[in-house]
Amino acid sequence: MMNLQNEWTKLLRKKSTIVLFCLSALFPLLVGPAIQMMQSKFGFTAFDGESFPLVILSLAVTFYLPLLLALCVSDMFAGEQEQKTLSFLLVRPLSRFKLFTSKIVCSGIYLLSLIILICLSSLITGAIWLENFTFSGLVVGLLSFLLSWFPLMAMGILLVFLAQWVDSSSKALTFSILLYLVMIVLTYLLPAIAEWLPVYDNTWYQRWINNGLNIATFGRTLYLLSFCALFFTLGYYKFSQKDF
Amino acid sequence: MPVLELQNVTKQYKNGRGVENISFSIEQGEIFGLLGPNGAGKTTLMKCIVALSRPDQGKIMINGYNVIENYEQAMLPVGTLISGVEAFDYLTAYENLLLASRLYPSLEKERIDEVLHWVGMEAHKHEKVKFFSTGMRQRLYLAAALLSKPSFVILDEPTNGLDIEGKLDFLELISWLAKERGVTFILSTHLIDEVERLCNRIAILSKGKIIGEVARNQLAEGQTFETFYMNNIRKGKEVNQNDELTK
Repeated sequence: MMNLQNEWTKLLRKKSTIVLFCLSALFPLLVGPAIQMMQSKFGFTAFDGESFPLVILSLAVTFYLPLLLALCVSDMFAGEQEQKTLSFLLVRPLSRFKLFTSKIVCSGIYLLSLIILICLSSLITGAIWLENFTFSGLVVGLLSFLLSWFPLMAMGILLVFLAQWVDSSSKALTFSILLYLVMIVLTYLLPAIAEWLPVYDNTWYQRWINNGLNIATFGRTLYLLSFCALFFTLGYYKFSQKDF
Repeated sequence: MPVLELQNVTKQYKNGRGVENISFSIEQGEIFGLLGPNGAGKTTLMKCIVALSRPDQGKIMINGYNVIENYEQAMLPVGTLISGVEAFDYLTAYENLLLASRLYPSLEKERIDEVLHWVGMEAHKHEKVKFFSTGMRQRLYLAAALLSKPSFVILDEPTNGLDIEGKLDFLELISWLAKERGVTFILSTHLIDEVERLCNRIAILSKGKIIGEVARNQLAEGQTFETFYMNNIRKGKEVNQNDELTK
């Protein structure tokens, strides 16, 4: 993975990445005290220190993380093609397969970093500002965040495939957001096809918490793996046939 | 074995432009000039050679490796400066070269400073590329092309945007690398003085086809690459006019 270090360096040298890392760390820190204030003002307990990380996670996996992932993928593929910087590395002894794979692995590491950052921030916020923060809550919260990486990555690979069809990052981002919204709407309007879509697994961690590893979750894991393999292959095929 | 061999390479874009049935080969130590007017298909051909574009037909071999099937082996001893390829403008000159250097095994970091010195960019190595002028960018791309100690260098319109001093330095550097280090070059340009000064052999590309090819030692007495070029371009125009009249 000679190029993985290159991709990671490029990502970290962008101001937007640093801003998004900061925002991700601040998000639970800002929401936590706000919730505590509301709880004490209105005298209700919607969630406590134990459940707070899961509330943040549900918001993050539904809206925040898919958006950040779409931003990252759009910029990595369509954005670099648009700026003609993709060719700067492609004219070196680096196969298109290695370049493609290193970009996907880099986006996976980026996603994992965001998840860990939000997780730690929400756990700390829950521990400091909210009541009833327990060790079991901490373990469940941590595992839930880590489990969420997998279905989000499946979504990311779908977005990578989509990014191969457009030649600018803004188009790729727009199509990604539209596709995501369409999938969300479809899960409500046509529940029969919902299971075929990766957004169905936005509640992936809940299934694991409620059921653990059973036949249904194992089957779903296999489905997501094959989904990743399919769109990775299709995306790579399109990428390898492109003229730059 | 030729350093570069093209066999019947054809690449057609949807707008009808491209190159058709191109064949030639380059031997070790040559400076081969690919000369042609704007829009002749020079960059298309260069992009095919480095596999940025896939030829519709034909085969391209670098040191015996097919560039499509064995890309990494083929490109390992090759340095490239292709028109339209841009560096990452949010990175510094040094960082851009560092990215490129990581793709060549056993390349020392000191080499980055060496090539930056060659192209006169040492003083700007920690400046972001977005603040560079066209000429400075071109110098950086030349540094990137020479970074890997290549034995074969592909240069597409390399002096675009360079000032007079930069251009003279560039021509001197290429001559020195060819003579002292035995580096082979393919140089695509529309500037006849570059070709006249540097090349041992040229091919003339017009409307996607090679219409003439000659080595310096094959030129008739008193003939230069320039006169050879002008004669062929005129002939090409006459042939085209006759074709149109026939149609």
